[in-house]
Amino acid sequence: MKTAKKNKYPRMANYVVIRRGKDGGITARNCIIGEEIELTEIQAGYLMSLNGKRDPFSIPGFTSKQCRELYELFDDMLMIRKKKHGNRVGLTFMLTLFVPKRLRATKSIIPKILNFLLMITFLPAFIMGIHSCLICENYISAEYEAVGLILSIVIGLLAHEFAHAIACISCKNGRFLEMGLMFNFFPGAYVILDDSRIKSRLAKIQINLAGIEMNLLISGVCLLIAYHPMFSSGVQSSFSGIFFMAAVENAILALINLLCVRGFDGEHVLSLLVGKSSLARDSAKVVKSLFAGPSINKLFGNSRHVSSNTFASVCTGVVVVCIQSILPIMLLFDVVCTIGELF
Amino acid sequence: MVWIIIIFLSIFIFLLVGKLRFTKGYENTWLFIFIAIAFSPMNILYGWRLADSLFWLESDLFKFVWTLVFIFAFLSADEIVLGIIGRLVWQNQQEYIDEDKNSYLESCMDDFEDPLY
Repeated sequence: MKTAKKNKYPRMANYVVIRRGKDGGITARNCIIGEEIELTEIQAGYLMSLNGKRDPFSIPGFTSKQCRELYELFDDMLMIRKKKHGNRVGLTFMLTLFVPKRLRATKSIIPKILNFLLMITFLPAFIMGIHSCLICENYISAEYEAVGLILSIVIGLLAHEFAHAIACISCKNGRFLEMGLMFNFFPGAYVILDDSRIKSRLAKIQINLAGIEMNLLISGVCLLIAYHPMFSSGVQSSFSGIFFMAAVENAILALINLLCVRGFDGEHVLSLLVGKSSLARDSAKVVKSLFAGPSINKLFGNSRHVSSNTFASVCTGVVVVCIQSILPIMLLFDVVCTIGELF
Repeated sequence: MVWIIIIFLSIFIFLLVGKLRFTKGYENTWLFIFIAIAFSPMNILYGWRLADSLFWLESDLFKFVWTLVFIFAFLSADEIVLGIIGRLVWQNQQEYIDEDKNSYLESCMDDFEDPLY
């Protein structure tokens, strides 16, 4: 049994969104794992009463046994927050950097302007940067390359997540709930958004692509700074190595995020385009059933029309599973390279 | 020349998906497959060229791994760009029903014995 600390009580997590539907039913959405569940009035009442200021095991209107059972239920559902700045979801440790005070959707025009500017400038900036790189014959200084590498990864990751947040809150019912750093196999950054009430599919696609757009924009701008004659002279040329590394790292971040690998932005976008909630998960299921499930005839069904689209779904699954294989290959390769460089 | 091939190939794929009767309602799924087939040769060629030009000092294994990354990234980019156009062209498409969408929370609720009942 998990016990609450004396002066620091657990509270309902800020990334849990509770809504009452038109039929009067209450749903709670966990925006970290992207799942929803229906709650009874009493369950919702208990969850919402956890405000961090009262003991979760002695809530008025509930017995201690009821409090304990409900607390354990919501703790298993990852809907209770015990620590202000840290959280663990499976093997991933998350360090909270920022939680907005106002959790309702904003009506401000500034996110809309920023998102629009990002959409129209990322590609021209990247193309101009590549053009500068190809035509310029300036020497890129190798000084400070390591500094550029570290700075560009940190700034690139944070800017990537910030772009997702801006794109989400620029939409009518989009909400930005939290931002921070996460540590799994590799360090990264995260942002928790609630886009469940955004109806437009293209708006959701733009939210998922905003991070990649930001990385390409940073890459283009850094290439322009590193190679453009206006910047690459005098003092600036000493620092051209920083900007060059920043450009390369951000381009690689953008490229890797485009991959249709589970958890990456490319997979989210392709899932929205194909019409599945998770292309990676569905593809794994489909391919698994080919080898270990029902026979192909049963999978395709009897109707000719249904079977052709099931065939399409199976082919899509095979392609996506092939793409998924790149991630373990890359991870293994990085480990081997790192060990090789150490010795 | 390459851009002309890409444009004509894309137009051909869109016409093919639009004309075939069995793709009706699942146009983006079929676009995904046809794009993967049609653009693979180009992705492989340019993926290898890019890896070779960027990492010309590195070993063949290094170049091979990055070639794979570039191939799949180019494929994803093609799928996304043409998929967005597909969604704009064919707006009324079928959605796949995902039975496992809320599986984690539902399993927590299934294991829960409500003490209030």
